[in-house]
Formats: sequence, C-alpha cells, structure tokens
Amino acid sequence: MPSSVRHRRRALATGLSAALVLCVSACASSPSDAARAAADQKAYGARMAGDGFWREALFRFERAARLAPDDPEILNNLAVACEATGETARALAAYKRALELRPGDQKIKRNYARFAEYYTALQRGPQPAVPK
Amino acid sequence: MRRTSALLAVVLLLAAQAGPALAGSREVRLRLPLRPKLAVTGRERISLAPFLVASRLSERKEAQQVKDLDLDTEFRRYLGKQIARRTKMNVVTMPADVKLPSTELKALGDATDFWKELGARVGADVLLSGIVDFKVEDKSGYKTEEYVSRVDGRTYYRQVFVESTGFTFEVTLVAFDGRTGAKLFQETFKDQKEKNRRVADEMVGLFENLFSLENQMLGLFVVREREANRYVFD
Repeated sequence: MPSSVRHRRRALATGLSAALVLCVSACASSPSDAARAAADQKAYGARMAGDGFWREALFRFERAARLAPDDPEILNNLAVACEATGETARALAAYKRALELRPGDQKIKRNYARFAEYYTALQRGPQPAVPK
Repeated sequence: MRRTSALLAVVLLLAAQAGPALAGSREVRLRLPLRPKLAVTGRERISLAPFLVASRLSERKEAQQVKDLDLDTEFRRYLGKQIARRTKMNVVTMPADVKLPSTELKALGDATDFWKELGARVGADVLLSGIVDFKVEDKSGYKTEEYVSRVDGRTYYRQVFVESTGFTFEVTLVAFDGRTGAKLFQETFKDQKEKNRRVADEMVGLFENLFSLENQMLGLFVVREREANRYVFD
C-alpha cells in the first residue's frame, strides 16, 4: 500500500475518533432526560396546535411544563393553548411567567399583547339585559 | 487533512449543542369566542320597532331611487330574518300601527313609558329601534394609473377617469327592555362600499352593506368567534 494512502487513512481515523470523543462529551453536557422529554412534548404539542388540535396540544404543553416548569417557550405555548381552549385566567398567568423568564422575547411579547386585548374585551363583559 | 477532520468534528459538536437554541417557532391560528354585547339568555322574545330614517329627517337631496327605497321596512325585514335564522330568539311581529314618540334618537332613548307599554302590548322581552341612514354618492373622478409603453417599454403614469358609486349605510341600534322600558344598549354600525361604475343598483348596494354588517349586528345577541394568530415554539 502506498504510504500517501496509508497516511490519509490514518488522518481520517484520527479525525473521526476526535469527532466521536467530542460528540460523546457533547452528549454528556446536553440537557437532562427530563429536559429532552419536555422538548419532545413541546414539539409534538406545537405540531398539534398547528393542526388545530388544541386539547391535545394543551395536554402536551402541560406535560412539558411539568418536566420543565421554567422554560419560557413551553410556558408561552401553554398560554396559547389555554387561550384557545377558553382558560383565559390560566393563559394570563402563563404569559406573565413566560415574560418574567424571558422579558426580551418579541414573539412572547406580541402574543401577550394580542391576548391582553382579547382578555380586556372579554372582561368588560356584556351589558345586563335587565338593568339593576 | 488532519486539520480538516478536526474542524468537521468541531462543527458537528457545535451543531449538536446549538440544536435546542435553533428550534424555531410557528404562527398558529386559533378561534376565540366573543361574548354577546347584550347579556341575553338567547331565548328571549324580541321585536323590531320602527326605525328613524335619517334622510327623511334632513334636508338632504336624494336620488329618486333612494327616495323610493323604504329603508325602515327593508332593514327591519332583513334584521328580523337574520335574528330568526341565526339565533334562538323568538322574533315577535310588530303591529303596523306603531308610531315612534319622537324623531330624535335621544328622546327615543328616554321614552321609557312608551317602550314599557309597547313591550307589554307585543309581549316582547327586548325591543329594538334606532336610526338608519343610506347614502348613494357619485365617487367618479380622475385617478392616477401606471402603464407600460408598448413603444419603449418604460413605465409611465396617466390620469384616467373612473366612474364609481359609493354606498354608505349607517345604523344606530338601540335595545330596550320590554318589561321596564329602560334603554339597555346603543351602538352604531357603519359600512362603506364603492362600485366601479356610475350607475350601480341602490338595492344591491344596500344589501352589500348589510351583509358586511351582519355579523357585527348579530354579535349583540349571540356568541361569535374571532380568528387570531399566535406564535408557538417548536
């Protein structure tokens, strides 16, 4: 075997083993199992929300929130699902918490602003048909 | 070669670690319920009393076709039909001899005894009245239009005369309690449409305005839904 080919193979082997070592170390420092499970639930819930299955989405985001209670993205998703299923008081609390955890997030801020408009209109309520 | 492999490994590592941070978001559509503006159970007996017609009260000159249009009757017929069809309320026929006690909206709102008496007479829980206005205006005029010359292929602007008619419909709905005669609610709805020709049919224009306002007006009595967009993170 020519020495140049042998040299190239050895270099490739070294590179791959380095990559393997780094990947293993990356896995070791990656989020815990709970965080990974929360991320899976969040992604699945987001897909369900996209398809309009809000009950299923809410169930997934609730599970995700139990696994990662301080994840602002999960709390935002939970708030949206609560809003869609009519649990407005819970949605308000979840939006507020999400913004506490990530105050600069434009998407959470925008969601919250739009929700606040709807929530205020809802709170004003109807005029009584029979005046007191 | 060795350096390339190491670089590849570092890129792989960074991609693996950045994964969660790069997770995107998507915009989702949701339908939010809107409560009716009037706290009704939805099964009340409702009756539509005459409406004031603004053009009859003012000195405004109207086209003959608009003058011929019985705006009060047409509007009440349309609204009554929509309430009967899209709500569970029972629409009670209003006797033809009922005359409003005043030609002023404010005075109508204060005529508690009249509404109480009328409510008892027709047996309605809720009475509707108010003021309607319908205007047909010639909106023809010159407008700037962009065109591409066939000679040199360049874009130019030209003034063109566009014939169009504007239809404006405005109604102030006032709801009264049929038992006490008290005013429950008042709200104004307005819609404007423009048709791209000078001689457009007034009746068609009126109903296009009414179709546009239908959901808003029925929102006084029934739960409606509104579409909204939100972001969810993947």
